[in-house]
Amino acid sequence: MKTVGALTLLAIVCTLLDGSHFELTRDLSEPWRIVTCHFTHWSHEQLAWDALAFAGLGIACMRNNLRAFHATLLASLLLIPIAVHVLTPHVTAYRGLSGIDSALFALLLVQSRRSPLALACALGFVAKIAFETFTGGAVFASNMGADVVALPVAHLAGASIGTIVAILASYTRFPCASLSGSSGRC
Amino acid sequence: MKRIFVWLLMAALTLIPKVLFAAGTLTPANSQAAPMQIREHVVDVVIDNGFARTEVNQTFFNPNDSDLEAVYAFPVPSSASLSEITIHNGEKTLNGEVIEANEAKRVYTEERDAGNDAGLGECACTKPKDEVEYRSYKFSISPVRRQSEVKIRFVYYQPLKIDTGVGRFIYPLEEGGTDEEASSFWTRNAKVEQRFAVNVELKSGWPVDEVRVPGAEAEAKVQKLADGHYKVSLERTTGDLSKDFVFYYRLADDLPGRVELLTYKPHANEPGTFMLTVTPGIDLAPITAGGDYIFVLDVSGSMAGKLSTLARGVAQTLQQFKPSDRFRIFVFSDRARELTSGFVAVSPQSVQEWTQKVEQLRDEGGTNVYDALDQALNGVEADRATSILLVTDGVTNEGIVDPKEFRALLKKYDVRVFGFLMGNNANWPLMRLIAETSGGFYSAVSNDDDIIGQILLAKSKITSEALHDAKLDIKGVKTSDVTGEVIGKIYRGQQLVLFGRYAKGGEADVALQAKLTGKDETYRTTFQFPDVSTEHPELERMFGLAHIEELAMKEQVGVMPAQEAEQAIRDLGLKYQLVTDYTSMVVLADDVFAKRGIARNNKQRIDVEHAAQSARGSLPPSNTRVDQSKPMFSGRSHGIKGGGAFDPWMAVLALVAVAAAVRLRR
Repeated sequence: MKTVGALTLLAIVCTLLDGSHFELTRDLSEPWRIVTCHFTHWSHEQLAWDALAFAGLGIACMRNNLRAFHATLLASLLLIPIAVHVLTPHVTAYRGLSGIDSALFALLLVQSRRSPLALACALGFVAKIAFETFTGGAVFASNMGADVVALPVAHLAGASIGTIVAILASYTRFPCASLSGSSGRC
Repeated sequence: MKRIFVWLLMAALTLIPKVLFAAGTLTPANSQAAPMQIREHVVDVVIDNGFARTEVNQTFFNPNDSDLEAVYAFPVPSSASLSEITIHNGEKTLNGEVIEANEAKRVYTEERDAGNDAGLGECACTKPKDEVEYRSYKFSISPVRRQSEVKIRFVYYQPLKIDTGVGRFIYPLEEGGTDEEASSFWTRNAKVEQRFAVNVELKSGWPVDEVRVPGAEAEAKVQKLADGHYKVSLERTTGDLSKDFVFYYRLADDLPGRVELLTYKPHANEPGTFMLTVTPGIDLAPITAGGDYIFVLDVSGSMAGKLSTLARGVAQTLQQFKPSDRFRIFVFSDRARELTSGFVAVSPQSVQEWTQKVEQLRDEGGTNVYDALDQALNGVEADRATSILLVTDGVTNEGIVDPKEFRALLKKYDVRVFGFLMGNNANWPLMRLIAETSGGFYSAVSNDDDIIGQILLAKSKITSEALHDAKLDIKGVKTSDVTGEVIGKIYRGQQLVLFGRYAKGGEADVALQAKLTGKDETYRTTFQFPDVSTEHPELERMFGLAHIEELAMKEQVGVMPAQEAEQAIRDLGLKYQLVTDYTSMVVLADDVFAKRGIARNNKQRIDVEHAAQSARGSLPPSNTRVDQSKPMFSGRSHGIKGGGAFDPWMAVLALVAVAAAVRLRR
């Protein structure tokens, strides 16, 4: 809970400050931006929805399987910006938590695959990523600002990370915390 | 909200008539003679650090059994200074000199009537002229001997601006068909019989990521010689001069905001000319508050056949509005009328209702832009940010047409007008006046433009904050006649190009002062103006033309008497050897110039320009940035920003998934 709360607070602070100090830029001369870019946003609206999703998904994933959550978070922090940097060379700056949101979403959905409702959500998620990937546009009007484009590659990378971690977690014996709070095996 | 403008512009772009007038040879409508044929049309363009040199070589053939006068017309390119005309008629070579327009016509007529070889280049640049289509150049050559060829070559220069990292060059051929009187006088032949070719050499001091020729991607051969050096060629055995040639180049992303300087000062003790290009690197935030949008749509007769497309575009535009936005719709032809009754709040029902009403529009009558703007501005609410989106494809020919009246009307309101102007010879001076007076901008859109590119550029400007009350101040070096010093607003991605004169070289302190979200901001740098510089003599012509455009604008808005403006434009035309409304280029043999006592001022200029071009030709692209050591801006000039879009629906979907997970665990 503390991790999610702290990171959500960090996102709010970074967005309120001048985001140009935190965003991912192409030159990579300031490597800390690989991590900080997730926490700054192009608009308050983008922050609001990203942070809400992060808080909800983060708490659920933490309580479901703490180690899988940490592994997903760590991998996402590092790999999503690298994917954006390598796969979208025309993009000069990147901001937002939604890549991590996508990773946590995928982690949760794979872990909850026995639920029909979760399966329906998974279908919606896959459809959104597929639409963005093939059309290059967002499903809904962007909340990021006039000159900012949605980057499906961030979502795709996030979803891949979450899925891989969830699959690995199901084959390894990650200790996890149940939703009721007691420790167990997942 | 940003998609509003995408759809509006998409609608606007489809307004262009599918069958248009074109560049081509002209034959009087009542003539029995067969039209003059165009056998070859070859265009060579060099784009070198901010300006383009366009050279056109044409071969005409007279298929008749008697000698004839050839007349060729084509639309005036944006800010073009027509500088050279050469005619090869048999073994004779004729060259052009710019003199006063009436005198040029008299000389040409006398030589033509005497059966001598002669040519004439005229322009109806900003004012209508007898037998010259509005916003067109007209070349006359006499005689073209029966069953014989004649070759004409002409050259013009024009500054090119980079917008959000994208450069655009248009070779205009398609004209708007807006001058019905002149059009009815001539029949036109736009067909090229044997060879149509366009060759573009791009030399940029900055890396270029991509070049494009929209509509001819498969045909155009692209050769990359270096990061900023490309050659593009398009070759056809036959052609049609009814479609513009459009060339785009996209600079590398993540370039810095910058200041670039070109100069020409051949002598240390004489004044020089400069072209200063400022590319701001300022982060202009998106506008998120709700606003009022007033559509002003042209439904005049020339819009026949296009209204259903317009309706579809407006319909899709309306669907992109936010609930906090409001809209009104005006349509105009001979008179304007409001389709809505006051502002309409955005809701699914209102969007559907007004979409249907726009779909029922019918074309009618002339083009009364004033009445439309007057009605649109009446009822604007002072506490709401209001933008007018004016879409028209014609000239103002009904109601009040005096630009001074337009200016007076717009000065009364705090409203930005964004104009989308179709066709190469539409009334851009009036649209420029409307846009600049209101602090908006206008976009002249070619039928062959990269539509998506134009949409994206316009959209990002309208939906982002702008710098206000911008002014460029140069200290340390004595400058004069600087065009565009008082800039007003700077929109996102916009580049500033200023021309001027300077007395002597030295270190200049240059400051761009502007307001950003109400706060005063100053961007400053220092750099050196050279005392002697001989690389770019063409700058003098472009400076002359920029000055002429400002004078024409001052006359239009009534701050300069017409006679004074006419005299000043004539003087500049003669000094810099430019074809204007009041100066024309008479093309004669050397001995005829001597016999008539016409000074060879243009020949002197051309000799200097050719020497400089020859020296530059062998050099790789050069970077002309002057603020490296003390950058004026800390930010980037352009670039695509990216982010993840976890929109409300996705957030809700994620929370549903969380609920499903919780339920499963229980």
